[in-house]
Amino acid sequence: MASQQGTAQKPWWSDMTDPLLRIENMDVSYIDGDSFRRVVKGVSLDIRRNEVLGIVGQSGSGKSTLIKAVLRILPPPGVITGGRALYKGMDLLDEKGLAIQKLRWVDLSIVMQSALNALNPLLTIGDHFVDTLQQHTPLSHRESIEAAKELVAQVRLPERVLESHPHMLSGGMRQRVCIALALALKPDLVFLDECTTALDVIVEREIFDEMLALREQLGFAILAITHDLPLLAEIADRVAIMADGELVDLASVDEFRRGGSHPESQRLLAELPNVHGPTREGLLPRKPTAPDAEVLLDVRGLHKKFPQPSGPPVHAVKNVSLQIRKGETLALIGESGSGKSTTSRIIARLLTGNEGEILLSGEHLQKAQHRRCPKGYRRRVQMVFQDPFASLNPVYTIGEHLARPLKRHGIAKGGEQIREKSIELLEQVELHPAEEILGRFPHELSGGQQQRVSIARSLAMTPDLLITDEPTSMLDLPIRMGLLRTLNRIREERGMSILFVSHDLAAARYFSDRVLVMQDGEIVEAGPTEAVTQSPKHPYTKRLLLAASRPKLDPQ
Amino acid sequence: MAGSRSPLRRLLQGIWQNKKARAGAILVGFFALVALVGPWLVGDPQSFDALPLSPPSADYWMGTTGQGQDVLAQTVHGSRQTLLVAVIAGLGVVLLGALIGGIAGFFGGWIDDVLGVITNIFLVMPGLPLMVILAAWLPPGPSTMVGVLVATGWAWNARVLRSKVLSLRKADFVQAAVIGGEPALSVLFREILPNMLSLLMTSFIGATIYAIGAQVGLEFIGLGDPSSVTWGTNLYWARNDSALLMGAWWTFVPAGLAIALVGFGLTLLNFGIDEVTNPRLRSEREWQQKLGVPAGHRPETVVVRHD
Amino acid sequence: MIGVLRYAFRRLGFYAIAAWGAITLNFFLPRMMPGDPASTLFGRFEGRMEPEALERLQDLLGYGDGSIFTQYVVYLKSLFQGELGTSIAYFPEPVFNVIRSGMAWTLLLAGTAVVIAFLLGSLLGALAAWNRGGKLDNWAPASFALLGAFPYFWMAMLASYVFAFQLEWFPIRHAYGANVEPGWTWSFFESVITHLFLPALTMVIASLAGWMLMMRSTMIQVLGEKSIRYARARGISERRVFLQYAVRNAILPSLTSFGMALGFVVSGALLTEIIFSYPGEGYLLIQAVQTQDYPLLQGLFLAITLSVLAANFFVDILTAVFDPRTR
Repeated sequence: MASQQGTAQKPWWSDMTDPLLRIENMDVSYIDGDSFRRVVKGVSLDIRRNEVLGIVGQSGSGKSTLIKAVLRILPPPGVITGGRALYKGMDLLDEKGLAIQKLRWVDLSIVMQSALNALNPLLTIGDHFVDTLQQHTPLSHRESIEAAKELVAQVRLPERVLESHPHMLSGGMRQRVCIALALALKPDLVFLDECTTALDVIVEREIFDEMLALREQLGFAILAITHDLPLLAEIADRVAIMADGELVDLASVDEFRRGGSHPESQRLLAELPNVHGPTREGLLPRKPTAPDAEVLLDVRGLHKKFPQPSGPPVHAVKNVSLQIRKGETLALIGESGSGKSTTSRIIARLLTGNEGEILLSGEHLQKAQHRRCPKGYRRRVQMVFQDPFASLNPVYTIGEHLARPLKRHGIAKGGEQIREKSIELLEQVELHPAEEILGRFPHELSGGQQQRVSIARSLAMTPDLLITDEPTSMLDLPIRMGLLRTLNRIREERGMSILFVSHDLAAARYFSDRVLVMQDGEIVEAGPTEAVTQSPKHPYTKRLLLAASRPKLDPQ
Repeated sequence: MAGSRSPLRRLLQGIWQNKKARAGAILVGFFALVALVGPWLVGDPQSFDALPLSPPSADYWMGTTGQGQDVLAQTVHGSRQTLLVAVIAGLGVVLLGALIGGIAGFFGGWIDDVLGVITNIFLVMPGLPLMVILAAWLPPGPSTMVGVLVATGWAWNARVLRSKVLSLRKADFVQAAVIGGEPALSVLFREILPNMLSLLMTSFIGATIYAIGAQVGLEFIGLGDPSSVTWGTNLYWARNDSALLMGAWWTFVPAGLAIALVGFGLTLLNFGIDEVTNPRLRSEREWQQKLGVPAGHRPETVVVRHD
Repeated sequence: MIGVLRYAFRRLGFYAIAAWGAITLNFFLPRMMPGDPASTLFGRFEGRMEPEALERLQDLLGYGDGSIFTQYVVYLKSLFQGELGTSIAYFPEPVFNVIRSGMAWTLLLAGTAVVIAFLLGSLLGALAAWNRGGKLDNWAPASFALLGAFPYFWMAMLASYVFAFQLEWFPIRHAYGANVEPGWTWSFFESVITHLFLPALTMVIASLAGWMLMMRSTMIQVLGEKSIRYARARGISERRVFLQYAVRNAILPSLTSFGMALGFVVSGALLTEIIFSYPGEGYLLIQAVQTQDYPLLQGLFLAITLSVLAANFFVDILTAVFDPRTR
C-alpha cells in the first residue's frame, strides 16, 4: 500500500530544514461591494521537499482560495491583500506576477477539481500536451507527442487517448490526463485541488494510489486540498486544518489521528461515520425497526431503458425488485451510473419505467410504464433531492413553499391554519425561529437550512415513504450528520419509512436497517446493514467497502 | 437583513439602478410620450399647402416633403402607428414563441421533435422574401403588418424560450412540485414561467426592435399602406419623390433618426437587464471600480497590499 | 472526417424538409389568401399577354385545372425543370432567367459584406472582451449598438446622399459603369469594385454591431471559464491563450448564429440593393412588387430561401469541422 511506503519514509524528509515553499502571513480577500472581505487570514505554512501535506476544511474555509492565490490563478473578485509566498528565494506574490510566470508548471503545477471544465473541449488531449511542452521546452511537435506518449503511459492510459477530445473520455481518464499534464515538466510541487471529488470512490482510490506511486518514482511534494478527511489521514505526512480562513491546526498525521490539538479537528473527527469496527455510540442513535412489520412498498421486476440518439438504448435498471417495510430505512447504495437514482425516480413516479409494477400497502397497483399517477400515491410517497438550493423555487418564500401542498391536499384550510401548520413543520425540522423563516426567500438561507425546508415541504403531505436522493452529499461534514439525525428522529416519531439513496456506505451503516447494493442497473447484494458492511459477499460490494474503508481514526 | 425582498422586486430595482437601462428607459419613454400626445401638438401631416421640398425653416422646423407636407408633423404622427404596431407585434411574437417553445420544452418527446423542426425551418428561412410574399397577397394595413411580423418573427423566441423551459423543467423544484401533486399546467405557469421573467422581458424588447426594423423595411418597399403616416411610409415617399436626388436630406433624416433612437433606447434597456441578471457582467464593473484596473480576466491574481 | 460527413448527412435531411416546406408554402400561399387578388391581376393582363403565358400564370396561382393535388404535382414537376413561369415585368423573359441574372450580384454584395462584417465584428468583440474595461470595451458596445439601430436601407440612403451625391466620391447606382463592357478586363473589375464599395460598406456598418456584441458576450463568458485559468496555470503564453483557448472557443456560438442571421442579412442586402439600384435579387424584388409581378415574386422567394438554406448547410458543416462535440 502506497500510504505505508509514504509513512515509512518519514524520517527521510523530516530532517530537511529548508522548506520548498514558505507561505508567510498570507491574506486573501474577496471584493464585496464597497469593502474587502478577508477569506484567508494570516496563514503561514511550510511545505517541505517530497512531503505530502494535506489541508482539510469545510467549503468556505478558504483552503482552495489559498492555493489558487499562491499560484496566482485566483480570478476576481479574489485579491491578494498581504503576506509572502517564498519559493527559491522569490516572492510569488509580487505586484506584476513575474516570479510565478517563470515558475508555472516548470516548478509548480496543479490538478484542478473538474477536469472536464479545465481541458479545452475543442483541442485533443495531445494538443494539450504539445501546447504545454512547447511553451516551456525546445521540443518539436513530433518530440512533444513522443514525450506525451510516455507521460500518459505513466498514468496507465493508452497512447490513443492523445487523439481523443476531452468529452470522449470518462471522468477518471480525464483526471489522469490532468495528472500526466501536471507531471509533464517534472515539477517540485504539485497542488491537488479537490481533484477526485467528482469521481466515484473506487476510481478515487486508484488515482491516489497511482499519484503516490509516481511520487516515489519521480520525487515531488504534494499539497492536497480536500474535505475528505479520512482520505488525507491515509495519504498525507502532515495535515493542516483550516476553518473560517485561519489555519487552526497543523500536525503530523499520527498526532492528527489521535485527535489533533484543536477543537475544530476534534469536531471534524467526531462526526465521521466508519464502515469498520464497532459503530460509534451516539453518532446517530436509532432504534432498529421490527423485521416483521407490514410491507409498505413492493416493487416488482422494474426495467428502464433510455433510448440513445445513436446506438442501442442504455439499460439503466434491470429487473429490480425491492420491498420496504413500515417504519424501515432502506439504503440503496451504488456509484453514479449504477441506476440507483433512476430506480428512486421511478418509485417517486417522476419517470416511467418500461416494465414492472409498484404496490403501496398492497394496493394502488400500478404498472411502472404508466404516465399517470394517482393523487393518493403522490401524497403518500414524497422525495427530497440532492441539491438543496435547486429544489426550492427562487421566486417564492418558504411560507409559500409550505402552503402549496397543504392547500392542494386539503391538509390545512384558511390562512391562519396554514400558518400554524407551516410553523409546526419548520419546528419539526429544527428550523428556528420558524415565524421569521416563513417570510424568507430560499437564497437567504444556508444549504443546510434549505435542505431542512425541503424536508418540511415533503412532510407537509404526511407521507408514508420518504425517498431521499443523496440528501447530504452537497452539505459539509458536520451538517450532514445533523440532518440525518433529524430525519431519523422524524421517522421514529411518525413511523414513516425512508428510502435512502446514497453512495456513502459509511453513512448508510449508521442510518439504515437494510442495504441494497446496485451495480450497472442490477441489485448485486441485499441484506441487513451490519451483515453487508461487515461480511460482504459480492466482489463489487467488497471493492466499494475497501474504497470506503479508512484507517482507524480515534478521537478519544 | 432588512426584511425579505422578492426576486421580482430586486430585478426591477436593479434595472432602475442600472445606468444603461435607465438611459434606455428614458429614451424609449420620450418617444412613447411623443406618440401618445405629440399628434395633438403638431399640424396636419397630410395637408399639402407648403412649398414642396423646402429646407428646414422657422415655419417648418424640419422642412417639407416632395408633396409639400410638414416633415415634423409627419414624423410625430408617424411615431404613433409605427410604435403601436411594433409593440403589438413584439407582444405577439413573444406570446407565440412562448406558447410554441413552452409546449415543446415542457412536454418534450415527439411534440418537441415536431415543433422543433417547424421552428428551425422558420428560423433559417430569410424573413424579408417571406414577408414580401405574405404582404403582397394580403390587403395592406396595420393588422396585416402585425400578422406578417408575428408569422415571420416568432421562431427565434420559440427557440430561446424552449431551451429555458427545458432546463427549468428538469430543475429539482419543478420535480418537487410534480411529486407534490401539482397538475401540469399549474407547474408550467406557477413554477416555470415566474422564473423566466427577465428572459421574457428581454425577448419582448428584442422582438419589438425586430418589429420596428422589419415593419419599416416592408413599408419602405411599398408593402405598407402608402396612404397612412408611419416612419416607414415617410421613407417610402422620400425615395419615391426622388428626394435623395434633389439633395433634400431633411425628408429622410428625421424618420431614420427616430427609428434609430427608439431602437437604441430599447437596446440599452436590454443591455441593462442583461447586466442586472448576469451576475458576472454586473460584478466585473464593481471590481474594476474598486481595484482601478480592468478585472474581467487577468493573467495573474491582483495584489493590493493592506499590510 | 467521417464524423463530419455523418453529421452533414443528418443535417441534409433537415434542410431537405425545410426546402420542401418552403416550396409547399410557395404553392399554397396564393391559394389560401383571402379575397381574389389574382383574378384582378388576370384582368389587368388580359390582352397584354399571350394566352399561353396567361394560362401558365393561372396554373401558378391556383386557377388551373384539376384537383389541388394534381396541381401540386404539376407544380413540383415544373419546378424541377426550372420552370417558374414568365415574368410580367420583364415579359416575355422566363422568371428563371431573370432570377439567374440577379443572383451573381446579390451573392457578390451580400457575400462580401457578410464575411467582412463577421470577421471584423468578431475580432473587435474579441479584443473588447480581452481588454475588458479598456477603451474599446467601454465605448464600442454602445456606439456600435447606436449604428446598428439604423435600418440598413437608411444607412445606404445617407451614405449615397453624402458620398455619392454630395461628394461624388463613388458612383450613385448600378453594379458597373455604363461605359464598360462586362468581361475579364481590368477596367470592368475596377468599375465593379468602385460600385460595390459603398453598398457593401453601409451593410458592414449596419451589421457590425450584432457580430461584435455577440462575440464580446460569448468571449466574456469563455474567459471566465476554468479552461482559461488552467491554460494560464500551465504557463501558456497570453497570445496563445487568446487565440487557441479563448477566440477559438468563443467563435463557435457566433458561427451558429451566423447561420441563423444569414436570412436577416440577406434581407438587409436586398434593401440596400434597392437604394443603389444594384441589379441583384433585391432590385428585382422591388420591381416585382411595383409591377405586381407575382410569378417573379414567388420565384424570388424560392430562390432566396433555397440559397440561404444552402449557406446554412455550409455553416453547419463548418461548425462540425471546428467543434468535435457536434459530430
